[in-house]
Order: sequence, then C-alpha cells, then structure tokens
Amino acid sequence: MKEIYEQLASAVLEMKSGEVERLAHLALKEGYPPEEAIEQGLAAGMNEVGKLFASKVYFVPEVLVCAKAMYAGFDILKEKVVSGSLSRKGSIVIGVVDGDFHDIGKNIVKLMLEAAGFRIVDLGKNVTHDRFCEAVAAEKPDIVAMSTLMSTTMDSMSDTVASLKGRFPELKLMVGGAPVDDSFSRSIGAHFYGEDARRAVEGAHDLMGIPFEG
Amino acid sequence: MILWEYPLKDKVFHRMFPQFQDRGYARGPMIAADHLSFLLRKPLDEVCRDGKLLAEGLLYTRRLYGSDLVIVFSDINLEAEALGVKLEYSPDRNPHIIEQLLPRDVKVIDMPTGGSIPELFNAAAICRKELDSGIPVFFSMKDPFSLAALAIGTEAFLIALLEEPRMAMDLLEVCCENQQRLIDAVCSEGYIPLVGSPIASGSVIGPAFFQEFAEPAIRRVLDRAEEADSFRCMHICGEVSVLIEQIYSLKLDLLSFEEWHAPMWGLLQDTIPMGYLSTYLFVKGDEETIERATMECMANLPKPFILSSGCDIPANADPELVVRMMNVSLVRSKKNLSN
Repeated sequence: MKEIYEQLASAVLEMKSGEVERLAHLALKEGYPPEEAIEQGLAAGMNEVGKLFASKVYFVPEVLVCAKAMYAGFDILKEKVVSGSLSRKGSIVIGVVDGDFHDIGKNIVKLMLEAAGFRIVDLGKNVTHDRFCEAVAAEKPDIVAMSTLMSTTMDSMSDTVASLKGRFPELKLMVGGAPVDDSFSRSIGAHFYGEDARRAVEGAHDLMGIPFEG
Repeated sequence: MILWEYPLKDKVFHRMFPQFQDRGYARGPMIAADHLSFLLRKPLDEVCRDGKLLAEGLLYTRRLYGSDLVIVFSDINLEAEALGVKLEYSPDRNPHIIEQLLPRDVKVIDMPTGGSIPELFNAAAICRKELDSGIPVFFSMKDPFSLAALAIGTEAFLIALLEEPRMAMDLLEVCCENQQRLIDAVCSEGYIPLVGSPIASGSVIGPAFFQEFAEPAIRRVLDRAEEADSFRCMHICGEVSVLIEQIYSLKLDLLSFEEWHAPMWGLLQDTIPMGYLSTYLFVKGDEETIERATMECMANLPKPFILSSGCDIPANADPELVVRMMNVSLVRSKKNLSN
C-alpha cells in the first residue's frame, strides 16, 4: 500500500480530521487516484476502526469521531472521483424498523458498510414495512439491512422481513440490534444476523459472494 | 431463620422488603407506560403524562402479576422534556424526540416540578397510599450522563466527549444538579430512587468514558440518596461486564441489569442483583422458556435478589408469560423449602 494511503488510514484511526483533510488534498495534488485514496486509505482506516470496536478497544464515541474524520476526507476526494469509477460491491437499503427511533447502531453499521465500498440508501428510523418495500422497488438494492434497539419492536422487524420476502423473494435480508440474536434472525427468515458493525460488513460480503479481506 | 452469606446486603434487603426477608428474594417486573397502556387499553400519550392513569396501571399490574414492588416509570424521555426537549406523543406509539436542545440551552431547573415530572410524583403518591407499607415504591429516573445525551442528542454528546470535553463536563454538571434535585425530592417522599443508565452503558461508552464522565456525576446523585437515608440503586442497560470496576466503586445497594455475568457478582457481594430474564422472552418466548429462565435465575443469582425482567417489559408482552415468571419462582421456592 502506498505510504500516503497508510497515513490516511492512520489519521482516520487516530480521529484526526484535520490531518485527514490535509492528506486528502495532498493525495489529489500529487496525482493519486481519488478512488484508491478512498478505498485503500479511508476505507482501510475504518476497517481497522471496526476491528477495534469489535474487540471493545473502541466504543461508540471513538467510532463516531473516526467516522467524522473519514467523511472529512471523503468529501474532498469524492469531488474528483470520475463518475462510476468508484468500485461498488453492491447496494444496501438500511433503516431502523417501525416504532423504533434509536438509530445510533444503524448509523455505525451504515458508515462501516459505506466505508467498505457498498452504496447505501439510508431510510432513517421508524421506517414502516411499506416504506422499506417502496425503497426496494425504487432502488433495487442487493440487500436490505434493518435494526431495532428495543424488544418491543422486534415484531415490527418480523413484519418487515415477511413483507419484503413476500414481494422480493430474491432480496437478501440482514438484521441486527441489541435484542436480536441469531435464532430470532433465523426464525423470522432473515439471511444474516450481524451482532456488531464489523460482522454486518462481513455478512454483506458473504451475501454478495465477495471475499471479505478484513 | 436463614443465615445469609452477606450481612450488609441482607440488611439492605430487609429494609427494602421487610415482608420478604425470610424468603430471601423479591419479585417484580420493570414496567413502563407502554405496557400499562397495552393492558389498560388506554392511549399511551395519556398514560405517560397522567399520574392517575399511570398509578391505575401500576396498581393493576401489581395485582395481575403479584409483584412485591412497584416501579414508577413512564418513559425514558420525560426528564429531557422537562429540560425543554420537544417530544411527539401519540396514542399508540412511544413518545419520541422531535427537537433537541443546544448545550447552552440546558439549564438547571426545578426538576421535580418540570414538565410531566409532577405526574410521576402523583402516581407514586397514589401507589404509596394504596399499597401496604411493606411494598416498596421505586421511582425511576435517569442518570446525569444519559440525561445530557437525551437533551442534546446522543451522537452529539458522545462526540463532544472527545472533541469538546469541557462542554460535555459543563453539561454534565447542569444535568447532575437537576438530578440531585430530583433524587432529593424522591427520597424526601419516601420512594426509592432507581437511577437508570440507558446511554451510560458498557455497550455504548465502555469503561474509560464511564469512569471519566459518567461515574463522577452518578456517584454525586447516589450520594444524595445515601445522605437521605435511602438506597444506592441503579439500572444499567446493555453490557455491564465491561464496567465491573466502575460499578464496584459506586458501592451500589441494588443493580438492575440486562446482561448476566456471573463473575461480576463475586465482586459485588454487597449489591442486590435485580433482573435476569431477557425482555425478548416476553415477546417471543413461551411458558417453557420463561420457566427455564426463571429456574436459572433462581439457581444463579446470589441471595437476596430481585427476580425481574432485564429491562422494561415490552409493550405487547403476553401477560401470561409475566405471570408465569412470577409463579414459577414461588413454586421453585416452596420446593426448596420442602427439601
């Protein structure tokens, strides 16, 4: 990996937004392809963040600040990306299910997936199953990822999975959230349960049949 | 007479539950307004903010489930609303935040009289009046850290811990002052404060942030309860195992938990454990799974303990499953005594 990409990854990992911005500008000035800088620099950094989060070295505050740093660089580099040249591993519609307004976990999963190279359509929180279906019809994603923090809205997740499977049988479905587990995921017919953000990224690769080089 | 292993914990338990001292455990699910609304078939927006309705629901569930305690708990956001956060209410959905505050707009207020908080005191007073004096009335309130996060937005507050720690500390100071006022009022009325930490959770902030930011403010609030001759009681959502040292240093009389972590209770010998049964079981479980989990709880929790749900019972939980938890424990207890 080129040194500047390693520096970008380190700056993301160390939550240094200013340094990420400086390096992003430097990468462009020195003629590095912005697509590479995003994928081998910023995304690689977020991948390391995901590892630290999974191993309980980083917690939510660090992940949020790392994400801020990543986006500081992304906003600079994406301006120079030639349309369509940024490799996309697939597209994912993501949201928090109906009745639940807790989106911090979903936001972390979203940014990790985005950093890993997936196109994300974020429906936000309190998303009805009709809204999920409309988004799938419009966006034609490969995967729908949904979360809930509350056990009270697990039924809503079950309803959403049933609606989506009924209308889009080929669609891959991922679920996650504090009260959810693998047996619940299987019982409602989801294809993957992501116990944390990093597992969600692994799962998205699995569902797309893409090797995960974490 | 049963000889208890840990005298300090027993003393606290005897003060809290004088009727159940020989049994060595008490039982009572944690219930919020959404489950009461479901059972009473009354609009949730009314149950949340009407002390009489809230008390009606709490007293009804005490009879229905045979609880040994009552916890006055409406919704997680009520104290933030008292600070000025705007909530949207509806008859059949939990209130949610539609407008948060800027840090500079979070002020010290008279929390016991702010927003709908007086209705919680009203509910508690009705419960106290209607119940036998041996049945404790707990009063759920937020810890200062979680209140700060709910007031300005969880992500904004968590980012501030790293990027603007001075601002985060100032905000915590204001929230601490508010919650000290609230806990003073709770204790002076004779209710037992149960300080809930939905955001200051091991899963969210981990031990370092808990120790630096959450713990000092929580300690100051709990100290006020102790000074008022009440108890140091907390509920922590999510993981607790990563916070063992921090929880130990808070010298809790009672810890309500979601995550069962056996080694922790070897250290917390002076703390009454409360919880154990996953709330998920009350939605997707059946009588068999509830019975199994209850038996596990009875076998695992060090006495004296409080058999309860790990967090609040889901709104649409099957009441039969809650009854099952309560009854299984009594049957199990009788079997033990007869053996």
